[in-house]
Amino acid sequence: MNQPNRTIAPETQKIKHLDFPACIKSLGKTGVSIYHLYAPVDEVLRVEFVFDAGIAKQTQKLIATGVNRLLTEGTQTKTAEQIADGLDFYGSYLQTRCAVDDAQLTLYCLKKHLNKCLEIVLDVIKNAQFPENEIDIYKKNNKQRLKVQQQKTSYLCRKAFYETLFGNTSPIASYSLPIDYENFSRETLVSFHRKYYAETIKYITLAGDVNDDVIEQLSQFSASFNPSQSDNNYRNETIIPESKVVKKEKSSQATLRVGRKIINRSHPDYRKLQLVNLVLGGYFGSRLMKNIREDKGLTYGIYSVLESYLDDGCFYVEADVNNDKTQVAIEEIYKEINTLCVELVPEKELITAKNYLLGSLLRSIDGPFTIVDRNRILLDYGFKSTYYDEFIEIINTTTSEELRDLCNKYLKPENLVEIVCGA
Amino acid sequence: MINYTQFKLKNGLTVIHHPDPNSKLCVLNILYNVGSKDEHPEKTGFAHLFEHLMFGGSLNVSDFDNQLQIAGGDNNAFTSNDITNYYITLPANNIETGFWLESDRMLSLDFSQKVLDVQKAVVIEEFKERYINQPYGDVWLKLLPLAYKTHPYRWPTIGKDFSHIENATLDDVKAFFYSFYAPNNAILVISGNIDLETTKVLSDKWFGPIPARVINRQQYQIEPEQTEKRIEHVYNDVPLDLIIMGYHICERMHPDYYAVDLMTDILGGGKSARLFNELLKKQKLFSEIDCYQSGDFDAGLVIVEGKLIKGVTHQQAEEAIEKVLNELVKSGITEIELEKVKNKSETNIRFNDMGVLNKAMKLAYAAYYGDIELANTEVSEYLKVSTNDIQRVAKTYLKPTNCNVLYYHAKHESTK
Repeated sequence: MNQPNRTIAPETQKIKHLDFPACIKSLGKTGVSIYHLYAPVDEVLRVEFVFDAGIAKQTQKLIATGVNRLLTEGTQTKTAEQIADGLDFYGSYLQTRCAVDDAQLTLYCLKKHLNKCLEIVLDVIKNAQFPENEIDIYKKNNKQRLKVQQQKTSYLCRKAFYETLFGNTSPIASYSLPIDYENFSRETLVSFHRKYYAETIKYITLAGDVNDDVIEQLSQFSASFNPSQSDNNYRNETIIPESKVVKKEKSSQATLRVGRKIINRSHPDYRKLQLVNLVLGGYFGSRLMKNIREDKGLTYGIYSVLESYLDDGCFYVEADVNNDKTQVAIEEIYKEINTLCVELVPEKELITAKNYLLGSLLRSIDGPFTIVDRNRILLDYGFKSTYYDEFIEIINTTTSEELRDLCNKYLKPENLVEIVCGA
Repeated sequence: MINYTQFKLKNGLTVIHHPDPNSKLCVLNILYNVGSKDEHPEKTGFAHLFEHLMFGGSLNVSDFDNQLQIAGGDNNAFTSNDITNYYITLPANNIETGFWLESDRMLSLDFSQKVLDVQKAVVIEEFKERYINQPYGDVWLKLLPLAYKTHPYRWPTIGKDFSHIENATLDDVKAFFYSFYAPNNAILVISGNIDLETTKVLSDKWFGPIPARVINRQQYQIEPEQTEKRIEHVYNDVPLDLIIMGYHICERMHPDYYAVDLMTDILGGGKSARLFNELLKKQKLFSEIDCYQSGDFDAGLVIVEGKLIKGVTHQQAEEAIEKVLNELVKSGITEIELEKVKNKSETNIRFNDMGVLNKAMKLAYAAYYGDIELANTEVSEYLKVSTNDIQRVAKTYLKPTNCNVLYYHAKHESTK
């Protein structure tokens, strides 16, 4: 058989349009927003119940997460076991998640069981009781888990990094110690629950095999709540970040983070800064990965990240390296950042990064769940539905000069701190 | 229901096509029938090291990742005991780039010493990051050789020891490539927004000219039946005691497989499971407890794993677990419990069948198992399981003489 010409790459086409699929909004009787997205996935449904109950709302450590986790541990009429049994019997999964800016319950179920599952979920959200016995189990088991976490260099490094950047009163750096579990009383949980879950909800999302009946069921459900009104400002203290070494005896590797506070998604520079981050360390073809992993073999993985919160943001480079290689790794990180500040990114490299980013946007809207996740970013930050279609245009027109200028504006090495945790 | 068409090229390559016109993407998934069980016992970790080398340049393409990124694609790979799987996701109209890249590295690698040296270092860092520098990271390094005495599942995919990876030579790499990386030892799945005709044309064009190769697989011994319980103690610098118990089970294609899988859900699948409720919630002996099966093709393990509450001894923990298992053997389960785990399996399967990549991998695995229809008949296989089946498999496999126990001790300050 004839060999094809393998020395030349097949022709490729550039991505020019995303045609971002926006969720459809409807309002329940009391004004609660329900956002849905239909997809031809037989019977499969995901429902998210989102509350203004994130860590930013707590006035005492562990409370926001504690309430979120303990919602499913008993109501006025059902024990934790009965709740779990009820949901499991219908083959459904109810996950809880508490983040800095909001908290949620996510229900994964088949359409034929939605009605039964919603009954249980409504009971859980409205009537959670926080039984003392369950609180004790939760405290004891989580204190044990925390002890395991405290053995990990990655955990200790992350904690020190957020604390020095944001100060430990910030919700982003809300790390607890075993002692914090002592102040964790049932009354605090109950009052947080009343204030942030029992009466109000931020919004509901629905993805999958959605039809009118499903929307109607959720509309009924939403009538038990009012829409929540919330500001998203954090209590911030002024803090001067400092580099730090955290000792962790006998660890075979060190985790390091180099970074700073930075603009979040709301800033006009953010989308272009994402491209700078990508070139530096945001994908497998990035400069950091090529230099520190693929050329020097110092680490299994190195990456840089832009993290956005509603009222703050940060940038960092992270890697696990041999203890005696931390200085080499940090020097190489600064070298790569400096190069980006001084030299223009060559055309070929820029095109590669742009195409990769466009492809990853396309991948991120493959499937109803990820599409809804993207839509939530628009909702939470108050962006227009054209945000992602504009993103394509922005990526395609960004120049190497702009990337260099943004690197100088935001990532100059003298503005970064280093956290190293290892032996 | 995943619809598919399967065909074979003259060189023995199995090709499976699954269309999904709703997607803007196309996936190229290739499964090679080689895993860590095919390694020489003194050269373990090689299949996985080799996976890294597959990205280090092929005969005509020096920069695999870069070429893929230019086309807007992404990729990854993983190695298991049984197989090595590579996947590429691309915007649908750029899929030919995937064919070009994947076929070139099947044709031949460029076998560079520099790439080998760097990837050996990277894999050793991966070994440390995942198996050493994590509390309990070495559990599998200890449990597997306890449970398996002759079968190559006795070492983990990452390898027994760094030294095996350090000692790998370029000759080893070449021999491994020509023994296993061949069209007649692979399953190619193309899924997404692409039609059958295009799939046929591109498969023929890029993979058709690659010659079939002689597959050089060493025979390995099956694991003899275990006749007495094995216990091993490990002491390490971790905060909590842990117990892990492994019971030998049947192979993937054995008729008992589905009942065994549901049995692990009865015992350990989430907050309504027996071990969780009885031992974590009621007796408060554990802070975490779970039960699952290893998912291997040859006879694998059912694992019960738990972290002990401070003050609870390993003996207490082990007895309590055995009591829950014995209850299952003695009294079986109710119809309601069975319906519950069947419903959960159905939900799991339906949610997993979303997305072009998941579907491609499922088809590749089913074909590897030797019955591609499994990709669609799995749900009905679970539905056939009866309460009697669950009790029977519990009795067959959850015997103390079939059990391997690791007592993982936290070294306390006073004993240092």
